[in-house]
Amino acid sequence: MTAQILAKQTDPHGVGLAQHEIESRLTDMLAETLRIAPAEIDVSRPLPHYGLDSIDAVTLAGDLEDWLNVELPSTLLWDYPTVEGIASYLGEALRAQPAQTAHAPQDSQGIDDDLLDHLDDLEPGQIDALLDELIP
Amino acid sequence: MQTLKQYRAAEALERQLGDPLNDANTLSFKNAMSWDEAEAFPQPAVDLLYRLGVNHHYVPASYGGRFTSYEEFQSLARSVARRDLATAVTFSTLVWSTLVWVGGDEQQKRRMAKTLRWTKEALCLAYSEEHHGADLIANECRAEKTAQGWRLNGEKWPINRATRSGGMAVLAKTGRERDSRSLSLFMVDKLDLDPAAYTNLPRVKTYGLRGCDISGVRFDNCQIPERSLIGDVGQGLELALRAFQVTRTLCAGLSLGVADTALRSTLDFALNRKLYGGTVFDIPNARRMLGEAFIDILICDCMATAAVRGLHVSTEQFSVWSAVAKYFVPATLERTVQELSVVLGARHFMRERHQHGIFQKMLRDGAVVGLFDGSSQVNLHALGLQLRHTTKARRNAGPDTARDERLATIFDLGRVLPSFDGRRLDLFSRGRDDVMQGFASALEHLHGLDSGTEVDGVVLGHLLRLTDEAMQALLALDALLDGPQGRALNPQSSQLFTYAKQYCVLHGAATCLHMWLYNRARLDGYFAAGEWLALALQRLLGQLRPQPDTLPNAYHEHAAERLKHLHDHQKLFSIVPLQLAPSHSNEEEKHHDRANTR
Repeated sequence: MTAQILAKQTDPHGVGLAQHEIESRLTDMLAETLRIAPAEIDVSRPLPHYGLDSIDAVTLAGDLEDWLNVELPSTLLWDYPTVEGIASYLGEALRAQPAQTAHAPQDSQGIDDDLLDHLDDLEPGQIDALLDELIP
Repeated sequence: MQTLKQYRAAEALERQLGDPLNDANTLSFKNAMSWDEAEAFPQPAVDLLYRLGVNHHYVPASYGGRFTSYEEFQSLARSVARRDLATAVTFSTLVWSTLVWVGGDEQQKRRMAKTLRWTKEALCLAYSEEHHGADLIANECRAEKTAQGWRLNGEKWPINRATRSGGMAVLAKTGRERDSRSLSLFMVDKLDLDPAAYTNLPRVKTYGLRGCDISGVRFDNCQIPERSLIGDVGQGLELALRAFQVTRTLCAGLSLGVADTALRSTLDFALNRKLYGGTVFDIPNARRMLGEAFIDILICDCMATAAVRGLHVSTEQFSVWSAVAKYFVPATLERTVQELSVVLGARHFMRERHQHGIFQKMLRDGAVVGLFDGSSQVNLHALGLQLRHTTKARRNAGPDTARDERLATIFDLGRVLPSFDGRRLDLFSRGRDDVMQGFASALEHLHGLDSGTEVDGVVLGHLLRLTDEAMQALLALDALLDGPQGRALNPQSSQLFTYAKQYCVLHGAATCLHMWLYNRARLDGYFAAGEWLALALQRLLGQLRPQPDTLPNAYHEHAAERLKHLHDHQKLFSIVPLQLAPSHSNEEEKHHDRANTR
């Protein structure tokens, strides 16, 4: 599965978040679901080892969608069952498609123009992502 | 009134199967009881269903079959279930072909179509293992890659139709880890197997469904060909859960068939039994109980019908919707049948006499529907976990013309459904639930109705009051789920199960309201008058907290009269009361029908 966001929200959050920031937020969400301390979660250990079952994992993908305001595959956590795996997937997906997720119905050229028009309103992370996109 | 097109196949099947009270018919109560008593497999009934071509309804039209919609499909299953649930459950294992329609490749689909249409090879669902129940990831049955395909080792038990099937959908471990990608799905054809490499496990004695082949299978280094694998390696659980969204939804039809017979049989007794100078039906409390059972059936009928239609339209939402239908309908109707046993009195305890003792068989057999395909608890858990998301999505949902259009397609029974597309089934609905998101606009619609001309003013007043109460209850549930207490809920918390049950009740209220609003002009006068809806809403709200009866006694009386009318005219207890088999046996008519079906 290539890292991609399925969807078409108008305002994705978290674009340009560093890997460690995503990991840290993920760890907190997991700790809350699993009722354990965040410190107990090893980012490289598969989540089923912490008692996260298949359906919980699907729901957690939904929580990630809410947090990032993007649409993700329901089985994301099945395919990337560790915190670092999920974070790297999300980082890549958000970097790869910030423009598309921001303005899905338009074509990509139009999107870039639109974003450039609003450069002043963008967060530093979004600017970084945009630069990544424009300068391959 | 002309029967809606999607119900004509069920009416034809009714005529072909004949009156279950006529002992000469294959699917008679007498035969169903004698198979049950002898713990005998209902082979004559299965043979008859094949002769009538019911197997063709399991194959999509694009593969040469007669499947058109799940609405039609469910109505056929209901006709069989009302005669004998053991037969219905035995024959309906063909529905596991859903796994291939949803996840198989072109060749697998063609092969499945051929098997279902031209052979009598049945299927079975080999998921369960003795020590692991619903915990599928803990399964031990393993498939190992070989040069020619795969090698199976392990046991599956208890499996309906394990011994008497030609094909088995086997979920087996292909990964070492205990994770969601460690299972793969195989459609195993027994003809491909070395008979020495698998063993049928003995039948288990059961409380209900005593004629069913509930047994198991053991594989010992059993070689299966490469083409058995459905989907990709590691996709087994995903496919299993997606197909369950279809089959769980269909379970509602089985419960409705059982409840129809339980009520019809009890009513038959109540109308004929003379007591205290009148009949049991003349006793106000008995009549009230019969009327309430009828209202329960109408509620579940609305939910089942909306859900099977919804499968074609709001397919992505079935992680929520299938759980609602699979929990609510079997649980409600099981209780309804239990309550009817009070009216039937001593006869409900007899395995003979009144209609050959069919009531106690329906009571026992019906109890299985809440168990299989994911138990009530499994469904409430799956629903409970999604409630935070449905609450949030509903809060953020404004007016949405696409949703209004979907609701119109689902609920207006005169609309033609789009083809079902199983690829759209998703494990997570992202909070979407059209029925509930459309509840507020349905209330607006209700408020806009003209009292007096469009609907009786008193009825409308009750409907406005009761639907408002339902909306308040929904907002209160939202507040609980959204508040600090709700957010802190453990995924395994028993409170979450309670909330999920309440959500189902409110889903029922919204469903009945939508159904009425969209079909007032289409269905008959009793449906249009709306008294039944007021009774249904009151009955649903009573499941949330005790309700005083605030409705005119006449509504209850009219419900009982309507019930008697449907009974006297051999009509299904339903919002769409299709014509059941006539209570006399007319051989000429039967021959005529048979000649016309193929």
